[in-house]
Amino acid sequence: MKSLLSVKQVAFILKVHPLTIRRYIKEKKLKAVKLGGNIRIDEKDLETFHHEVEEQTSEKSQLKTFRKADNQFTPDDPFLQLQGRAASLRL
Amino acid sequence: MLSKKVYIATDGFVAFIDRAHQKHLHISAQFRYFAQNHFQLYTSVVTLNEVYNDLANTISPSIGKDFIRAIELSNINLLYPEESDIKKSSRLLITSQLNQLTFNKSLMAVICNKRSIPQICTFEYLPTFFGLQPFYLPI
Repeated sequence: MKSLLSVKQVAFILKVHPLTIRRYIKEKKLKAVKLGGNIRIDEKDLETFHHEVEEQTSEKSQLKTFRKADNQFTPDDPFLQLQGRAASLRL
Repeated sequence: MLSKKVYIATDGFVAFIDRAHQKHLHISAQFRYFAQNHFQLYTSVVTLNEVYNDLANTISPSIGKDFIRAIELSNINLLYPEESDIKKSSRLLITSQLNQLTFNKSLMAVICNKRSIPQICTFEYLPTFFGLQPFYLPI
């Protein structure tokens, strides 16, 4: 038999508010079943959800680490060759 | 310590290229200072578009093309506004009572605030949002 958890139990495990769990269910991020008007979450679905969240956060942190450093403006920059290249006829 | 991050506004680029501009010598000295001190220069695609249009209309389209080519090769960092930046700047523009504020300027303020760029290289009116300051050459 599947081991099912209530919203409160899942909230306690994930250390979030029960309303957050209900939101995850509504947004279909977390699978849930309704048994006689009560919401129950399968332990396996909770594990899958946990893995997905972990993967997403690790991808984000990798992106942050590999973000290209901003370039520095140096005296040999090609843009400096444009200095006074043209003259307008502004009045 | 003074930050080495500076955002170049439209008039900054135009004054640098246009030798007839009244601030040409001033801006040339600023660019030399940026290069010697290895500053990090930033601009956005919206500013790029404005500069190109200005150069193409007041000088010639070929100068506009030269400018785009130079920016492509240059180490000036190009910033791309996201949807949230556009929304934030439009809200800023709509709620602000400053008549001199344009959409480009409010977008510039939002982008600078997001990327922690405290100084703007400009001679025009500068919105006082987020503690932005014009860049002055230290004497």
